[in-house]
Amino acid sequence: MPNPSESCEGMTFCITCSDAAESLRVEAIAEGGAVGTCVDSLGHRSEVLLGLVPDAVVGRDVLVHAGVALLVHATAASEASR
Amino acid sequence: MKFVDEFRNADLGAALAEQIAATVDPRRHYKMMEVCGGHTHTIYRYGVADLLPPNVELVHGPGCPVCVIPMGRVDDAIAMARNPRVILTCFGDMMRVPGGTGSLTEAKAAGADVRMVYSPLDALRIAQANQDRDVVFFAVGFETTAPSTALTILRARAERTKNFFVFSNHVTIVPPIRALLESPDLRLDAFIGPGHVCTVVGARPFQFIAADYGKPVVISGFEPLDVLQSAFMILRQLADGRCEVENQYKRVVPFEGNPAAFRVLADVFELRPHFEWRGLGFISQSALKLSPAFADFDAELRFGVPGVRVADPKACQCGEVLKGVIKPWECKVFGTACTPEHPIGTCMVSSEGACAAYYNFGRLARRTREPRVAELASS
Repeated sequence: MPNPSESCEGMTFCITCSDAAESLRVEAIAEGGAVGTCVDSLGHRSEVLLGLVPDAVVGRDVLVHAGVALLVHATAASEASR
Repeated sequence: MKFVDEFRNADLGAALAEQIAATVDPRRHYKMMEVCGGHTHTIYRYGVADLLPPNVELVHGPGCPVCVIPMGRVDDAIAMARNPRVILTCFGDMMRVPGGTGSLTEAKAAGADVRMVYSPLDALRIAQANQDRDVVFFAVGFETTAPSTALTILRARAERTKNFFVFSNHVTIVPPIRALLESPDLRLDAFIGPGHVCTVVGARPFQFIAADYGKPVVISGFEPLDVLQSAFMILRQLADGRCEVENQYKRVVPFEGNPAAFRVLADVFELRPHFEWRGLGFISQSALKLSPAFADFDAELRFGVPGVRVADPKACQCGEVLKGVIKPWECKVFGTACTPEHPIGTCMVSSEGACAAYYNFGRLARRTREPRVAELASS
């Protein structure tokens, strides 16, 4: 996870305070599914609340905004078939 | 990268632009509003407008949550931050938004303990690590962000954290859209709907735009071809005489939204009777405050706030920009007195703000394009 002491300035896109979200992969789930550790494509890890996505499982990608997963992405295979 | 590269493919974009050109009626002017700051950012960053015919106009709406916060609420946050017992936490962009008494960055420079966080959960962790202090999270954002704040409050209660408070400035997207539709200032043909808000609320809340006002809505993703395809879908609706809510962002947005998020929001928040929006004035039932059951976490009750309404600087035209009445470059102080380094208005602060997005990405393309247009006109 980026260092919270860093500023958003210089970033081309503020992922926290806008209507934007990012896809992260669930790496571990704890506390009965309430919270998880997720990793982005660059290997940054962050604590993510999973209370809104009871179908999240390790290895699946979730859409995360402001520290909360909003949905579980369809798998690449199922999405490609659409 | 899958689901990114194909939505930034130049050849696909050019092909889509040809289809759009073949769809529009050259005798008609089309005006569509994107209500989400993320779309505004994409439009300027990738030059989406350059792929549209000149009679298709994109208008930027009040979809940047930082931009719509009035100056008085910033002053309220600064007043809390000046309390030596308080650690005030907020997202990065909020730190630079000017209030009537300066910005949170300036308050921090003057000694206030103001910290940037990436999520409400970060703020809760700061509270748990500093139990001799009170930690306030300055919460902004639409329905995308509000569930994060709500879940964090529920977690604070479950973990018996007594020194965590939320200064809620969460807003909802439908009331300002309705206000814009009722505004005599603006004539719009359609809306590009906010993709990630809809992951929470779904498509249903936007059906009134088609049913009551006869205007198409297409919920859009955030890659450049997402926005371009959404514009095409809108133009197809208008060409066919249809008026519907369509979902371009099906790979992410379920039509019904996220029911669990609805439940959490209903548990923790209630609608404010009215709330002031920068540029739009007071709008009924357009913002969220903590429900009485969570009053122990309500920073406004814990600390009290000045609650003084502050008029925007006279030179600033953020209000007109947020309503889509003028473009960023038509503001009198754009790029001169007001820049991302020294913003006067909120639209120049956030990277999602129309003025900052245009300043960072659009103005150079416009400068390049304008001489060509002048050259063609004189030949």
